[in-house]
Amino acid sequence: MYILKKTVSLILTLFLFSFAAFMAFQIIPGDSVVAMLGTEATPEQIAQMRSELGYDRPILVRYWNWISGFAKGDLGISLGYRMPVAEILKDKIPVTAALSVLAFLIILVVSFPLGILYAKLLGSPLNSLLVGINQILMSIPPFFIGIIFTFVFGLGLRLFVPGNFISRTEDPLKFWTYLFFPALAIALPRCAQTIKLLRASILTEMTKDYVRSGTSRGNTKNRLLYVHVLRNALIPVITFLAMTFSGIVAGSIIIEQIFVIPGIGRLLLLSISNRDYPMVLTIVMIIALVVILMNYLADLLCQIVDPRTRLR
Amino acid sequence: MKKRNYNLIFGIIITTFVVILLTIGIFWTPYDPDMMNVKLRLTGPSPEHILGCDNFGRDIFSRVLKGGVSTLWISVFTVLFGLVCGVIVGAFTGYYGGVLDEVVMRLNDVLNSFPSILFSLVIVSLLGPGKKNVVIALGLLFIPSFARITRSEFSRIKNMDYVKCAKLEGVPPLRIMFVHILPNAVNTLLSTTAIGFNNAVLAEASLSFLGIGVQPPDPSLGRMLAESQTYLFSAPWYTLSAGGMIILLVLGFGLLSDGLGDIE
Repeated sequence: MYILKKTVSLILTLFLFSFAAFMAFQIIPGDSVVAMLGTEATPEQIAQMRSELGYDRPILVRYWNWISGFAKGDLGISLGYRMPVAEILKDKIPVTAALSVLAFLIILVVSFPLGILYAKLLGSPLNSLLVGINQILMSIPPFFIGIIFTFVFGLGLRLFVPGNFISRTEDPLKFWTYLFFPALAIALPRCAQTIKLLRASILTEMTKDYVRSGTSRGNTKNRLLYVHVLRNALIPVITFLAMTFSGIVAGSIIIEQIFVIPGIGRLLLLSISNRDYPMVLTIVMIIALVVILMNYLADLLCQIVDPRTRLR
Repeated sequence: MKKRNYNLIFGIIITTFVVILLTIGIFWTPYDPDMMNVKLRLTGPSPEHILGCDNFGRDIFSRVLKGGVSTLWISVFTVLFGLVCGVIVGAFTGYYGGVLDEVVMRLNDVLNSFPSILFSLVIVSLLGPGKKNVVIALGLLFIPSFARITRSEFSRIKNMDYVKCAKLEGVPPLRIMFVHILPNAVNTLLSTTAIGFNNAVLAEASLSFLGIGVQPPDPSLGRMLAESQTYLFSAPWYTLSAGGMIILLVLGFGLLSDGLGDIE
C-alpha cells in the first residue's frame, strides 16, 4: 500500500515537473529558430524550419510528442549541433554519472565512521575542536575547494594535469584519478553536513527512554549504539543523503567547469549560452529524473529501516 | 550549569564583523575598485594594498568589499522575497489546511527536492543574466522552505487556546494570523532566515562564478574567483581573498542559524 502510494506520487511528480519544464521553455523570449538560421533568414525559411521542427503545432500535442519520445529515448534534435540530442549525450552522461557516484561513495565512506566517532567523543576536549573544523568545512563552497585542488594536487603535486581529461576507454586508471579530485571537492562540504546530521541524530536518539532501559539491563554502550540506536538514527540521514545526491549532480555542473570535464554539466552551460533549448530541456529533465528517483528510493529505504513510516 | 551557545556567539561575532566591514564598503573603499594600474599588475599584499592587486592592477581589498556588498544586497532582497511570499503562503495553508494545503505542499516538495543551482540556472537563462533576475530566480526558490516552516508553526499554534479565544471573540482571520500567530512563529523563522542568507550567498556566488549572475563591470565575489583561477600560480592571494570573503559570509550565517535554532 505504501509503495503503491509512493509510486503514484512519483509518476504524478514526474508528469507535473516535465509539463512545467516544457511550458517554461515555450515562453522564452528570443526565438531559437531565428537564432539558428541567423537574422538574414527569410520569413519563408523560418516558417519552413518551424514546421520541420514541429513548432507550429498546438502546445499540448507538442508536449505529448516530446514526452512520449523522451520515454522511448528519442530526445529530439539539438539546435546547436544539428544532431540528435541522444547521440551527443551518449558520451557525456557516463562521465557525470561516474563523477557523481564517486562523490557519493566518498561521502558514505567518510561520513558514517566519522559521524559515529564524533558522537562517541561527546564531552571530550577533542569534541569542540572537531565540531568547529566540521562547521568551517561546511562553509567552503565546492568550487573554491575545486580551485584549491587544481592548484595543490594538479599544478603543485602533479597528480593530474588540470584540463587534460583522459577518457575511460583510453586509460581507466588515469580516468578515475582525474575524477577523484573533483569528486572530493564536491564531497567535502557535504561530508561535513552528513557528519553533523548523523552526530546530532545519534545524540538525540541516545537520550530516548529505550536506551536508558537498555543500559539498565546491562547492555554495553557499544552494543546499544550499533544494534539499537544506529538504525533509528539513520532515518533522517537517509532522507538527507537522497537530497545530497541531487546536490552532487547539481554541484557537478560547476565542478566540471573548473576541472574541464566533458560531462553534461559543461554541456548544459554551453547549451544555455547557445540558446539550444531542446538540449537544455533534455538535460534538465534527466537531472530531474535522477533527483526524483533518488527521493523515491530514499522513501522506500526509510520504510525498510523504520516500518513506522508506513503509517504516516 | 547552562551550556553556552557557542554557535550563536561565534555566529554573531563573525556576521557582525563582516556586516560592519561591508557597510563601510558601501561608503568608502581604500581605492577606487575599478581603478586600473598596469604597474601594480598581480602584485602581492603590501602595506598599501593589503590583499594585493589583480590582473588589471586593481586593489583586491576594495574589490572584495564591493563584491561582498553586492553579494549581500542580492542575498537581502532574495531572502526578503522568499520570506514575505513564503510566510503568506505558509500562513494561509497552515491556518486553513484542507485541499489547498495538500496541493501547495506537494508543489513545495517538488521544488524543494530539486537542486537550487539548476533551477536558478534555468530561470536566469530564460530571463537573461543580471542582478534583478538572480534575485527573482533565487527568491522563487526560497519560497518553499519559508512556506514549510511557517505552515508547520501556524498549524501548531492555531490550536492553542488563545487563538481559539480570539476566534470566539470574533477577531477577523487575517488579524489572528498576522497579529496573533505570526509573532509567536518569529523565533523559528529567524533561524530559517539565517540559513536562507547562507544559501543565498552560496547560490549567488555560484551563479556569478558561472558568469550568469552579476555582470561586469560590477564586482562580484563569484566572478572574482572565476577570474582568479587563471592567475592561481602567480597570484594565489587573489583567489584566497575572494574565497575567504565568501567563506566568512557563509560561516557566519551558518553558525547564526544553528545558534538561533538551539535557543529554546
